[in-house]
Amino acid sequence: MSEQTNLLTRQQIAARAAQDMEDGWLVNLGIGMPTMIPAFIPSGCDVMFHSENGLIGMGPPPAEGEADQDLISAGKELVTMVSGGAYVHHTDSFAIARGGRLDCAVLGAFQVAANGDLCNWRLPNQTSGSVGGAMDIAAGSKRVFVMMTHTARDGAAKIVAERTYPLTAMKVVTKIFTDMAVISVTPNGFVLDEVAPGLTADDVQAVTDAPLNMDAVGTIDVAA
Amino acid sequence: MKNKKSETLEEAVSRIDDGATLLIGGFGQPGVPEILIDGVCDLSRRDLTIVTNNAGTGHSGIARLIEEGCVSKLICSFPWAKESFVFKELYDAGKIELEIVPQGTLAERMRTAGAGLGGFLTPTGVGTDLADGKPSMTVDGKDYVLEKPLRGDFRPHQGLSGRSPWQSDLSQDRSELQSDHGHGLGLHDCRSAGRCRH
Repeated sequence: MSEQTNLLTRQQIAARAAQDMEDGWLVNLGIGMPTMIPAFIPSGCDVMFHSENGLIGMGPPPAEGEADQDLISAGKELVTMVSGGAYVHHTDSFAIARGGRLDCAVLGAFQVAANGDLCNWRLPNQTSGSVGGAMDIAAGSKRVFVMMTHTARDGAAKIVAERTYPLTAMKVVTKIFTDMAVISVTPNGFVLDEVAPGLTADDVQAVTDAPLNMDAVGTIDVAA
Repeated sequence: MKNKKSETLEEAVSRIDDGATLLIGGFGQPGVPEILIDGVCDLSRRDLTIVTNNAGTGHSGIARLIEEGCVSKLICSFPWAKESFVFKELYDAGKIELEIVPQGTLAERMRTAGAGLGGFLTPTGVGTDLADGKPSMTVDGKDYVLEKPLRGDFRPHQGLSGRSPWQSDLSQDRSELQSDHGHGLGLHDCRSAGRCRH
């Protein structure tokens, strides 16, 4: 295990997560890796992106010379609005999030627990964090996908039996996409759906601090 | 209808006293009414409470207000960003108080105050540090946190034509529009609502 070549790149994780986006969905993407997903949505799959600062129908970065300095993503990057998009009031944007109108949110995480608890807003050794819209979006989305490296930089497991980090939202995560695996969060705990090419289920279990159900493990399709 | 137009920016912002609470729109730098904030800075007000999403960018706008010592408390959702270094310096020095509120809760608490409601029940933050000490309630089997209205004294705001020079883009039309700062700027006095019976 731990041969770097067997780990997926950020692009490959984004490409795999994009395969789970369904036609007609409204999706919120967290800051960082999740923002790479739109580039991998196949044409013909009509996914609309929600940016919590008040943009429904977020499009790609603007062409050179066509930037509108007011038109930004939640990560404060310059973006565009797609045809059929809309600007909404900040409270309406969060009514969409809390009200279950987001089909999916794809967020980063420090820790995910077997019951679906999400920890992504503050590290335990910090007295304060930047919560932004994470708690509202995680609490309200129909599905919460987590996209992250499988372990922390120091090698510590991020997928754990019980959380030890400050909570963002309880029992919300439904699926996890990492550089090693795709894992579903079910009422019976974690289910290992797929592993990266070249890795075994045992490789993934070795760096996961919770039991993985390995009854039907496939291989991540990185060519897609 | 009563004409509420102020002749000068100074006249408008001079109604803001020490200790006032300002509700400031914008997300990062876009939308922040920097020209009005500069007017408040020029008055050297003290002990202001600022309610806004971020903690200022660079040295202008909200960052300038913080840097000049006008602000004693910041209520926001996203304080820690590399561009908010001015806030971090004052916070680390113990010179400014911080209250972190989830973004949707922050917006809804202000809306609730303006709409005459006594608060709202939200699923946001249930079981987290940010709900510590707040009443909770279970409705139809789902858990909620009670969030109270967040009242302000003033709400400075700007339209497209009230943007400060950095906020304008290169389009000639917009440069002309924003050359007249008298338009597109507003200062809503929130205190004027709901006080008649006192």
